[in-house]
Amino acid sequence: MQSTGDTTATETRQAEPPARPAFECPQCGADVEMPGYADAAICAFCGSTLTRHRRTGDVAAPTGEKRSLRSVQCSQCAGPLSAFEGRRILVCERCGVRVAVLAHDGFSRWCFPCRLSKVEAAETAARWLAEHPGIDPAARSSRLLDAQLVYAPIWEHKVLIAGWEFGYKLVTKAEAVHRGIPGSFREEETRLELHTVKERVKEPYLQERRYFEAATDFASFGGRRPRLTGRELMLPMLAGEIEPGATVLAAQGDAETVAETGRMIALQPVSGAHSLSAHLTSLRESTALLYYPMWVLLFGAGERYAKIVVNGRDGSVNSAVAPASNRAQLALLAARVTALAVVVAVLVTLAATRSQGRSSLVAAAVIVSLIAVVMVWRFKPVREVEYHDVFSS
Amino acid sequence: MPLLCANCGLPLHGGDEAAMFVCENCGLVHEPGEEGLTPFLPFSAAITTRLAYAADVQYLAVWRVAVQVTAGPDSAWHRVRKAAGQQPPYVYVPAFSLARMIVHRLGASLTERQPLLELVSGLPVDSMRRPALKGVDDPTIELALGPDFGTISPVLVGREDSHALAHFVFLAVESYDKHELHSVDYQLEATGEELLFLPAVWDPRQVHESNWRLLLREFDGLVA
Repeated sequence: MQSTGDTTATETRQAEPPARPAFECPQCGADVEMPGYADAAICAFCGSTLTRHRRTGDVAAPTGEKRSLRSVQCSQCAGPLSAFEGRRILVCERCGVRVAVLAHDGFSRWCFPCRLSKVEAAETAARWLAEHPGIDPAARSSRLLDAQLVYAPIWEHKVLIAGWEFGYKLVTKAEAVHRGIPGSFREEETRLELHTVKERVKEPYLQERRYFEAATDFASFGGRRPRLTGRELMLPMLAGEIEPGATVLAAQGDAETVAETGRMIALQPVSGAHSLSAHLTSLRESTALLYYPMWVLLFGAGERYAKIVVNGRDGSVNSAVAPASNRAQLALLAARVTALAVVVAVLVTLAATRSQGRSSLVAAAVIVSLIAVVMVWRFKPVREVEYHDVFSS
Repeated sequence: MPLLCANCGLPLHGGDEAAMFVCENCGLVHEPGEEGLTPFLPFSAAITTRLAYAADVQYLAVWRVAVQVTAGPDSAWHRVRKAAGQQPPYVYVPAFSLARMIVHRLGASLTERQPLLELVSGLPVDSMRRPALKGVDDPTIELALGPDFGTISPVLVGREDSHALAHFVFLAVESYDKHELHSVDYQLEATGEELLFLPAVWDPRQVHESNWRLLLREFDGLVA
C-alpha cells in the first residue's frame, strides 16, 4: 500500500450523529444533509437529485465562492435520473434525456454497491471460522458480537497512454540444425541450437492504464485493499444512499499526488528494449475515489476474539485473525520428546550393562537429552491464525 | 449538465466515453467544459470518390491538426509535405475510435495521402440519416454492417487529446517503411485543429484502413 498521508480530502463519519443540515433543497426547502464524501444527494422530502453548485464572487465566503445545492432532476420532465449507462452520464427514467455529471474538487466519487447483508456476511465469517485449519475449537463456535459495514476509500487514476517505443532487444531463438554423420548411412542428425538474436522493437501503444492506491489504512480495521480491475459495477456516491449505520472512512491523500504517481507509473516503458527511445504521452486522465464496502465482524468466545473482514462486494473473506489451536503442535512435540526419551533410556541401559564404550554411550545420551531440552525450549505456541485474501494488497 | 442541443434542444449523440457530443438534428458539436457545453459547427467532407459504393455512408470524426514539424533529412515528413502540395501538411487523428489499430492505420493513411478535401460547414444529417443499430446483440451484425453508431460517428477524442495523438500518428508515419528504426528525433508543435467528418463505408476488405473505405479520390487506388 502506498500512502501519501498528506491532506484529508473528505471528512466523513456517518456513524456519528448528523450535524445540523448544511444545505436546503432548492425545490422544496427541506433540509438536506450532504456529507463530504458525496457528489450528490437525494432530497428525502421531494425526491430531487441535488448536486453541489459553486457561485463565484461571494465576498462573505472565505474562499470567494459559496456552495449551494442545485437540482439535477431531468430538465425536460423533472423525472428521476439513474446511472446505468456508464460512469459519467445519468439517464432520465421517464423521457430518456441524458445528463453528464461533473466532478467536484477535480475528482469523482463512486461506490461499489454492497451485495451482502449483515446475516450473509456473518454466515460467511462463521463458515470461515468453522472450516479454516488451525483455529482453536472454542473459537469455531464463538458468538457474533458486532458487525459493522465500512466503506473504505481507494484512489483510482485512469489514463490513456499513447506513443511508441523504439530500440532493440536480445532474444534467444531456437534453430533446428541438420547434420549428416560422415561415413555412415544413418539418417541425418538433427539438433536444436540456441542463438542470441538482436531483434528490433517498434511498438505502438494506445491503451488504458489504471493505478489504484489505498486512500485509508486498511489495516486499521483489520483488512487489506481488495483487488480491483476497474471493470466492476460502480454507482455515484450519493448522500443518503449508503446503508444506515455504515461508516464511511475519511480519505487520505490528494487527487493531484495520486494523479502524479499514476501518470509516472503509466508512462514507464514496457517493451524492455535496449537503447530505448520512448515517446509516450498521457491523455484522458481522470481520478476518482472509489468506496469499497467491507463487513467487519467480531466473534467472541470467553476471553478470546476473532475478527473477520468480509468483502461486501463479492462475499469473500478479505482478512481474518482468530485464536489458534496448539493441540496438534503440542501432540507432535510430545511425540518427538517421547521418542528422544526412549532413545536416552536405551542408551543409558546399554551404558549400564556394557563395560566397553560406556563413555561414548553416556555422551550420546547427554547429546540426545540436550536435543530434547532445546526442542522443548524452542517451542512457541501460536497465538493467532492470520489470513489475508491472496489477491489483496 | 443536460445533454441537449443548444440550438434545437434535442438530445445529443455520444456515450459515456464521448469527448464531445453531436446533435444529429442540426449538426452542432458540443464541447463540455467548466461552464457547460460550448457548441461549434464542424466541417464535413464531400464524397469525391469516382468509384461506386454500395453500403450506407457513415461520417467518421477526424481531427485535422495543423503542425509545425522539425525533423531530420531522412524523415518521412518530407514526403508528406510533398504530398500536401500547395496546402499546408496536416496530421490526421481519427476521433471516432480509440482502438490502436484504427488510430494507427487510418491516421497514418490519411496523413500520408493529405487528401484534398471539399469541406462544407456542418453535417449532412438531413440527407442520410439512418438509425443506430445499438441494442442488437448479434456480433455477426457488426461484422456485416460495421460499427453501430449510425450515420454520424461519436467523437471520443477531445481537442487537447488530438494534439497528443498527433505525435502518435506522426511516429506511425515515420516508422512505416523504416525497418531498422532505433530512435526518432523530431519536434512537433500543434498550432491548431479542426474537427472534420469524413465520408466512409464499412468494408471488411479494407484491411489496411481498419475496415473503413474512405470515399475520397485519394483512396480510390486502394479499392480492388
